[in-house]
Amino acid sequence: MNSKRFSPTSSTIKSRFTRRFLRALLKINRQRTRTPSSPMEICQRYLKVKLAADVSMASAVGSRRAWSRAMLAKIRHGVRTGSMCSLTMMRKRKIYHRKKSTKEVGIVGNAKVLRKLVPGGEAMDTCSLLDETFHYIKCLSTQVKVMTRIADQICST
Amino acid sequence: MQPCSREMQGMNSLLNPTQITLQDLQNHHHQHQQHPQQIQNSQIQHLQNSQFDPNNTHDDFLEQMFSTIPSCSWPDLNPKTPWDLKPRDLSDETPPSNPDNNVPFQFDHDSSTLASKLRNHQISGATKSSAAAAAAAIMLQQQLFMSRGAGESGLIQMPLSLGASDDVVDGSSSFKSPNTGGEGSVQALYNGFTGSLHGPGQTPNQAQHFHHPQGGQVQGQNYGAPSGVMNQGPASGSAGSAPAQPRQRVRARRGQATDPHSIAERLRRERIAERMKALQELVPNANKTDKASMLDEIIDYVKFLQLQVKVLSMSRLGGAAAVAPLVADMSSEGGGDCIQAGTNSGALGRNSNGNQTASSNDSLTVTEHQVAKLMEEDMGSAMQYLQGKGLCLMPISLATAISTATCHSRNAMINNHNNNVNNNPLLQSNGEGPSSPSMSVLTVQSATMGNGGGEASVKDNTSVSKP
Repeated sequence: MNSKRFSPTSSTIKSRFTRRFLRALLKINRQRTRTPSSPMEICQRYLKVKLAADVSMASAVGSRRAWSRAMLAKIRHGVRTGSMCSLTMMRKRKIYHRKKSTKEVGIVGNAKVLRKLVPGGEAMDTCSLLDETFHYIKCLSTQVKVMTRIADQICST
Repeated sequence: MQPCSREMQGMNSLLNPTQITLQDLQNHHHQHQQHPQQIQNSQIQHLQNSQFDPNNTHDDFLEQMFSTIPSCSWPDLNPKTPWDLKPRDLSDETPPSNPDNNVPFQFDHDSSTLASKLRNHQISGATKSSAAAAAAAIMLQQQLFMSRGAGESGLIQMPLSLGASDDVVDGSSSFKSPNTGGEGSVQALYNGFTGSLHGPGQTPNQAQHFHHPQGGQVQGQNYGAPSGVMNQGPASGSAGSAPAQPRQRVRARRGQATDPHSIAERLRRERIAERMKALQELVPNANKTDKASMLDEIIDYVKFLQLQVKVLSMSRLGGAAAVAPLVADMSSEGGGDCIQAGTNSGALGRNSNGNQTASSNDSLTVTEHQVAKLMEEDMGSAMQYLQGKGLCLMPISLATAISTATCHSRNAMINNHNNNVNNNPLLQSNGEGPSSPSMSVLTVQSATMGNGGGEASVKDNTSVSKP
């Protein structure tokens, strides 16, 4: 972590993600015209920030991992079909939540849930699914750490 | 019944030529090393195709097999038993072996114990296990080789590559080969064996077709060989405990199957197990031994991390304006050091915030009442009110989880604020106790989040900024 601090070409996932994410945040900030008051605007901006975080994480990882590839593909697809599509999808998800009465138990059931969580997890066998989960968890935790630090920085100054 | 009789005849035919070539074995040290397997296979075919005496029983066969052991002059074995029996077909070959008994063979101690084990097994052995006993003999031989530090994989592979019924033949012949000159070296054994195989001048172009399960078992045993060899030492006792199915000629080692499908399955399971172990180190609270509950933990952790990312991205909305100077610093310094500096100052800022939280408690309760009132009327307006305040609702369990999970990294949670006026946005969540009252509210919920489940507002020690 500290070793890569002063090298201009630092290549850890953490540093790559940090750089990209901050650049994206700056871009979003420039786009902001006024202080958003309506929930809709807040929501939209939140989505933008979250998207920026996801994209920067996935691109920092690159195409080496299946989950990053799947995530990038999904984002590109979502961008193409418009951002409103994501809202409708979320509303649909609300309906589907009610149908979860029959839960699958055991390793197979858990594997299914995991597939839904990890991006691109549907098209993998259990063995590589666990691999991808491992890498995904690592990247998510670095993402969280970096973002909390950024938030600290922002909120404290 | 039939296979055993075949084996015996085969052994006879093999042993007879072995006698002849005993003298030559010392001279052939490295000549016949190339194709032991083909040699064995062709030899086996040859033996199997010869005419057999159907009257031989299993017990006699076993006795004959064990008769070869003392001929190798293992001193600790029961010397008298095999020779008291009537090896009908081997009577002509036993006398030449007798002088070899006097050759002092330096066998290892465990080899003798193995031999005694084999003997015991034979005494208790079922009819089916004659082949198994042969495999046990092979394993003994293997053990012998292992104890001598035989590094030659070819040597160890040699007995392994045979089916059980054929193992007997090879086992006996390899038992014979130590007779050669009292040589204790593995090399001599190996060469002696191959030399003996060459001796009878079998036709290598015998049909190589094993009957199918045997071929499969050979393959299976080969798969098991690399790992089985390593297990040989501790698993020698398993010779008597492995299952013996009627069709299978090869005895399975303890915990290992010889079917290629099950071996692939086992490999897959091992791979999954090692990945689960790696995940266990990554995920906190990973002291579960059960795979299903471990998966549960992993799923929960992934959900939690994703939720944290969402929360943190929500918190950025208010502070995005302050990113600009941060990024400018970043580009000049080119690293995370400013972020680290930010962390330090954030910690300082946090400590100073502790004094302010007490004063905000009053406003908190007021807000709470307000929200509760609004909630009775209309959820939407309550949410809007909260968002106007820069707060949101979340389930208590989630807040607990978040606060406990991040307590090891930092001691505060981030609260959202509408703008950047006040610099006391941070909350004190002590994190020592999982259900500490000083928990914070996180801005997660928005109208589109879609969590229709029950929400409870947990707002303690939040500091609300004034617009």
